[in-house]
Formats: sequence, C-alpha cells, structure tokens
Amino acid sequence: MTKKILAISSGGGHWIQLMRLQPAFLGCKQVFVTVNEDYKIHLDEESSFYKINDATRWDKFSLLILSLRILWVIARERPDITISTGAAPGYIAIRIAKLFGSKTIWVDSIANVDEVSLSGKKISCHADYCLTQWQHLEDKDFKFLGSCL
Amino acid sequence: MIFLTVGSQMPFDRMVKVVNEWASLNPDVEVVAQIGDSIESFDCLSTFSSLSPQEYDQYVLSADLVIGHAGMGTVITCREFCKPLAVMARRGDFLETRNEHQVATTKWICEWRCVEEFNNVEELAASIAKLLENCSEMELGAAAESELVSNIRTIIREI
Repeated sequence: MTKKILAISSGGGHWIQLMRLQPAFLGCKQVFVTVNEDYKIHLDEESSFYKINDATRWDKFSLLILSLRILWVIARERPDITISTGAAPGYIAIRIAKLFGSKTIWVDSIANVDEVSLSGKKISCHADYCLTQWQHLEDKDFKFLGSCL
Repeated sequence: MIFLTVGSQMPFDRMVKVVNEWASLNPDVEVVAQIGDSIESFDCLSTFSSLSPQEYDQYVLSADLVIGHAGMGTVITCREFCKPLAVMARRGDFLETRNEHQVATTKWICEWRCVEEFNNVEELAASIAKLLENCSEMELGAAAESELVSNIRTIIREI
C-alpha cells in the first residue's frame, strides 16, 4: 500500500529545507502544508497542497486558528507519516498527528548551529524521530543523520 | 545586476541602508532589492517589498552576485544556483530576528568559498570586489542528493 506523507513547514528557509528533503518522499502520496500559496510552484501536480496562516509562539490567537486548520487537514488526510522542518506549524502538526496515529519526524533547521531550536526541544518528547543537521548537537534526544546540503 | 534580499519575514533596514549607500557610490551598477514591508525609502535601489518564488528565483539566477541576510532560504538558494553571496547577519539584540542564530550561521558559511560577510559600506565594497574577482560562480552547487535524504528515505520505508 502506498504510504501517505504530510510535509509541513513555515516559510522561507524552513520551506526551502523541506524542498531539499522532498526526493526522500518519492513513492509516497505527498501532502504539503505551508504558509504561502505561491510555494505550490515547487510541487508536481500529484501532490496535495494546503495553505495555512503563519504564527509565532507569541501570538496566541493566530496559534489557535493555525491549530484548528492543521487539525482539519490532518483529520481529512490521515497521513501515515508527518514530517516537519519547523517551526510553529510543524510543532502543532506533530502533536496533532500523533493523536491520529501518524509516525512523526522532526528535522531541526540547519540554521540552528549552536543549539537545537526551542520548538525542536519542545517536540523532542513527542516526535518519533528527532534529527539535528549538526553532528556536534547529537544527544539522547536528537540524532544526526546528515544535513540537507 | 546585484540582487539584494532580506528574506520573507521582517524588513532589515540596517542592511538595506548600507547597500543603498554602496549603490550611491556605484551608480553604474543596477541593484534590485527585495526589502520587506519597510517604511523607509532607498533612492539608489529598485525596490520590491516581496517577490513571488518564481520572480525571486529569476532575480537570483540573473544576478552576478546576491547580497542577503544570513537566512537559510537565501543561503541554500544561492548555493543551488551557484551564486556568490555577501551576507549580513540579523542580530537578536537589535530585535532583527528572534535570537543570535544568524550570527552563528554567518560564522559557519563564511568558511565557504564565495561567501563574504559585511557589516558596513567599506566591508561591503571589499566583499563585492573580492567576490566578483574570485567567484564567477560558487564552487559548490548543492549536492544532488544529500545523505540526509537517503537516511530519511530509509526511515520512511521502515515505518
């Protein structure tokens, strides 16, 4: 059976890194979720696409709207695997996806050279796989399996 | 043409001011600038607040050199398109981003050939001169497929 993967990130570098990982999703049914409608241009026609609002962890109202939207997408799509390169949308998606029995993968942004991101630290006890892109940041919570470059 | 980008989130006027000053001293060079929702005006740059991903890629592709903040979107795009890059790090203590991660990124990417850091107009002039002389193209394009991709593929297969 073809697995379904839901790949989610916020904009800018998070999305560019998610796109660098896309070749790994080949053979899966792919669902992408991000903050900018225009990013659809990077995807082929078979992938599904959902736009979400962006939110930071300081903006409680946007976070609530974002969570409801992500809940709706996940309830509808029921992915086998959920993967994120950050930040807030990925954290929320992994928490919700777990409730639906999805396996979850967090890839911390390569921008975090000195320490793992705050969202990364907070998701580490929930996600099935937590990856850092820096060897020197590998620890009991975060595995290093290479970088997206 | 030189393409300046501050990334998709916040304006970065401290950097754009430096580039505008450089452009005023080099009127024969065209500088196209994506500057975010800035309220300042920069008379020596052709400015856009934001660009679509296609327009953005097109400007990076046709630029001789990119000037940008040290965000990974900018860094990875330049690497994929083999473009020399002059960077200024956004600083957390100036509230230009949420913490000092761009300072750390800058320290790391400046070890690459064809990436130079600047913090003022003198350093920018030196960076541009050095990049244009030494790097018609960035030495390393991003690898076709990273180790991380094959490892994640294995994880997905095993799930």
